[in-house]
Amino acid sequence: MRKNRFITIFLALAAVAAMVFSCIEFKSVIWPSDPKANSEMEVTIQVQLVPETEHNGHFVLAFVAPKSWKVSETVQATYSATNAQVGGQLITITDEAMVLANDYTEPTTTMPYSSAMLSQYGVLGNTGPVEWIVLRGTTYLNLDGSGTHPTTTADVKVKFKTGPNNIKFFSAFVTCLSDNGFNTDHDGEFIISDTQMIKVTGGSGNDDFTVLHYVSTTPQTFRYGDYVSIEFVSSIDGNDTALYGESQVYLNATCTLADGTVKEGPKTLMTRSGDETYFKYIYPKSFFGVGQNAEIVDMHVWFTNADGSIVVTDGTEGFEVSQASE
Amino acid sequence: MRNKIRVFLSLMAAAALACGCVKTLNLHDTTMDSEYEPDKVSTYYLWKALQIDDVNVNGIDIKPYFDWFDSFQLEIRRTDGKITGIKMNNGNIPHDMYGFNLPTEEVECYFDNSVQPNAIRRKSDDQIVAVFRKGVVCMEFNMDCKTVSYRFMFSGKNN
Repeated sequence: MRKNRFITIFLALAAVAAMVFSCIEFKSVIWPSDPKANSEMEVTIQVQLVPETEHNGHFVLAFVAPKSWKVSETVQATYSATNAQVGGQLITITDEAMVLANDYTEPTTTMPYSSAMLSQYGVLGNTGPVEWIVLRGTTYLNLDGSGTHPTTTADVKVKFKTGPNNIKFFSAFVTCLSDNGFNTDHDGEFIISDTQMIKVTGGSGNDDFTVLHYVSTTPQTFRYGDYVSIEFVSSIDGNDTALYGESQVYLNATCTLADGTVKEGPKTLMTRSGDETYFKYIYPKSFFGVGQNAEIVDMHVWFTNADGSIVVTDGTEGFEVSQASE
Repeated sequence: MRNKIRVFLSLMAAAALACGCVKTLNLHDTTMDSEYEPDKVSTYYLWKALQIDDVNVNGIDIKPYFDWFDSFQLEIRRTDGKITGIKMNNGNIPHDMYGFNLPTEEVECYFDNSVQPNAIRRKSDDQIVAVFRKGVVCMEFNMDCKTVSYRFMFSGKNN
């Protein structure tokens, strides 16, 4: 009986503590309902900061976007905050510009914030190249928890330009205070919003980062002068390729050089890394035997069984494995 | 009771003797190591070849996938306890690691502890040819894509 009472009191105290330390909360994240390619996109975010414990630093906001959009070149962000504690006083910050924080270091990982976000949250399940864009406010906030503990509400507007392609990808927003970063001494000091699928239409092509592709690479972004792993999935969501179930799958590939010469690499056994997954690391210039000074301008791959009687390919040339622009 | 006191005192004495046998090491003691040689050429072999990018920030070891990494060797010469020379054998690796040719003959170099991580610099042009990360000799470079970097880590043993 006494033990039960103790547990009840303990749980009640824990609940109160959790409420006290839930310091940052997303009230809303509103993406445009029908975003278009080659257009300006505006996202509106409302964040609530409850200064119950000592928190200082610049307001940090990060989100995921396709790399091809080069968001860092077009992004503009403003925020207004009511009841913000600055230098021991409550003020209202209005129309405060936010700046990129690429060279800003996250204190617990000591990595630049964009790398730290990748390390903490990954790429949110995207199967194409995406990046974390990290912004920070210019005003240094002192949320020291003293006095009346007012709630600070920050309204943020982030604008950036979309790319020319139709695209589907996952995104989410993360926020924290710069001095705290990913510190987990207390709960709720950094937080990620719900992941949303963003679909951009009205452009060309059809990039879908929300589904697995039969062919992918590691790194996602690379150039033909790098080492790269070519990866093949023989079945996606019940859609089996002809090679599904094969224990031995071979990589076949061609490349085109800058002078138009087409080279074919050797048929090469891939490593089976799962029931349906295979990979092979190559150094393209050696794989195609083209020498160090040769310039490879494109590359296509297809997959076969040992005797070549079963082929999985795309179109007439194979799956395109493209390199990043310089 | 007297027996208990005797046992206690005996144990204390034994403990004091044992403590007296512990020798405090300091930096000078490293030169007393029978294997320490102030003038020596040490050979290093590639231990890990990490490929690092935005997604794989801790790096993926690609050494197991290419036999040619086994042939890569690095020799560091110490004279009077200081690093004075370096020699690299690229083995069968089909590409350069840096934007300049690796020295195939031993070249003069020096240890630079004014930078972090500490570096071995080529004396002729101050180019960094290797760095020390947590005591491990590393070569760090990009190849083609600026967002993909490589960290080759060396050990004294050929794995």
